Amino acid sequence: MSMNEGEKRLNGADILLKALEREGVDLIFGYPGGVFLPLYDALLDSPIRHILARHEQGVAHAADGYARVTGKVGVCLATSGPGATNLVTGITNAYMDSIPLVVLTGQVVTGLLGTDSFQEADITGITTPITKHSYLVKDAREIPRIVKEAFYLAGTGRPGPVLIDLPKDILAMEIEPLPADMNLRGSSAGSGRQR
Amino acid sequence: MPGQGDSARIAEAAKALSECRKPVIYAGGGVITAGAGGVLRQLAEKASLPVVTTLMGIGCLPYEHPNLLGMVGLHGAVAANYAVDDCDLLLAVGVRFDDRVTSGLGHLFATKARIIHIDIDLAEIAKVVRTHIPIVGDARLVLEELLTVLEGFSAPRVTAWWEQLRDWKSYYPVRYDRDRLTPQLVIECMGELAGEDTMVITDVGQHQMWAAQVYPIVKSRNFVTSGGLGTMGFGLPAAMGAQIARPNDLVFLITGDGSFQMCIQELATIAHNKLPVKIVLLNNGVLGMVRQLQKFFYGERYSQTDLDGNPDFVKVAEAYGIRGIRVDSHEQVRSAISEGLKHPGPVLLEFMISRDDDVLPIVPPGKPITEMLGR
Repeated sequence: MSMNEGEKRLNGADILLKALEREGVDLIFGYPGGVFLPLYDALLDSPIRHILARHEQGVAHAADGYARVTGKVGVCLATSGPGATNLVTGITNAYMDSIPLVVLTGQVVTGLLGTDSFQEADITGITTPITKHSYLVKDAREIPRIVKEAFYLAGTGRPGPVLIDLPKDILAMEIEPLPADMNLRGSSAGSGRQR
Repeated sequence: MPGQGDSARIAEAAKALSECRKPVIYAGGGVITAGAGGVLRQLAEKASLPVVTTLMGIGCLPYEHPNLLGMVGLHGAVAANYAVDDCDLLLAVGVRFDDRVTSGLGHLFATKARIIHIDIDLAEIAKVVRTHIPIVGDARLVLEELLTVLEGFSAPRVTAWWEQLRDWKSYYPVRYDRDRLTPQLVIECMGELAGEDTMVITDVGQHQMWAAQVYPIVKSRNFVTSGGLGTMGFGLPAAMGAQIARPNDLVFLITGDGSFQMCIQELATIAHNKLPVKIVLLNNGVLGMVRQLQKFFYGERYSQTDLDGNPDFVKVAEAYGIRGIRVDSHEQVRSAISEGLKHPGPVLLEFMISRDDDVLPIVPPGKPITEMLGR
């Protein structure tokens, strides 16, 4: 998939959605919130279908059910703070049953991290024992690599959930287009789609 | 190749298999994950190996397959538990010797057996039981190699073992009343009316175990249940995800009145997206699994397990624009399910069952899996 050079500059949210598309994602389960406004705005222009649940626990279990009946990686998202903590039961459930999920959480802007700001929760800390790995994204240019790694980790070996925490300013940050192709060093994950 | 098992260990496993007299395959969720159901079936048929599954392994062999003894563990089939206890070779594939299987007593589990453990995760090897032949690798790749290597060995002599297994199986069938509205009757009828591509999603509790024991799952990835965590409320949103993933296949959700209320808000998502999930609510008005434990092990002192205050679930469904059907006699079971299946959209089928129906057999806490009550 090549990016059209010269079009509007992309922000972290656009890049995230493109990276998800590259992994073969056509469906995500989610619930919006304040810090996810850049992502939900970008979603309006994305071909990825979003299913709005009625509680973040439902979002996680729905992605889990999707993964179990297809063998594919399930994707879900929830906003920062209570949205993220409401996912914890669903992430633990997937972890215990070795179900591959990529969980995206919104996070407060990086400048406010660690200040008890509104709807802030240390979700990477909270989910460390219940995920295969978790990321706190601090640079939008890292998004493509992190997304690729996350899908590889979630679906490889003993499957399980991987979490990506996305601060609002990172999602809003404008960056250069996505590189045309990418490989993870030391893994067999090429540029192909999810299995 | 990643996931390939150690060939020397696989050869050792093949030799052990050919020399044993009482083998059992103990298959779990890893078989489903690895897509190893097909090769597992070939292996079982070729060497006449009986198979027991965990809750997570349901679907790796069809329910009616003659080699399948059923689920093993705390609510397992009697024949399955006896077989594991008495076997001289346990071929454990994609399992973790969970305490719902071993009763938390790894040192009393399959004590007469040589144990071959195939798993993708090294951390699971010898975590709970001592393992004689550990093979770390992808279940499908390892079983494929094992099947090939077995060509060079004679088949195990298992005629006497199968006589014993058939005796147990016929002496301890799954038993339940068919002349009143029992949960098993409902589930059995669902299985008769639905096709083999049907996905069965469960919540957590008694209904989950009845579904695991009775629903005739034919294929891998068609039984979805919260195994390790036991999350009440999992069922409705998981059914939603399953239906969206495979829009052309039928989805049954089997739930209870406790679990259903823990994520009941997702009825809105189901209604809004017109997901034709068939919700089978087995309503006994209590938190049945906990109440059952109070009945058996706490002198029938029922503490906080009555769900007085339950809403009218048919009206709740209708309030979301979902068709609701209530059933309170066994004569209506078949026609109600048929009607639900004919309806193009989502349906709630509420079956009013007795609070005194138990999940049997049951292994009391702290007892080995051969000491089942309600055999």
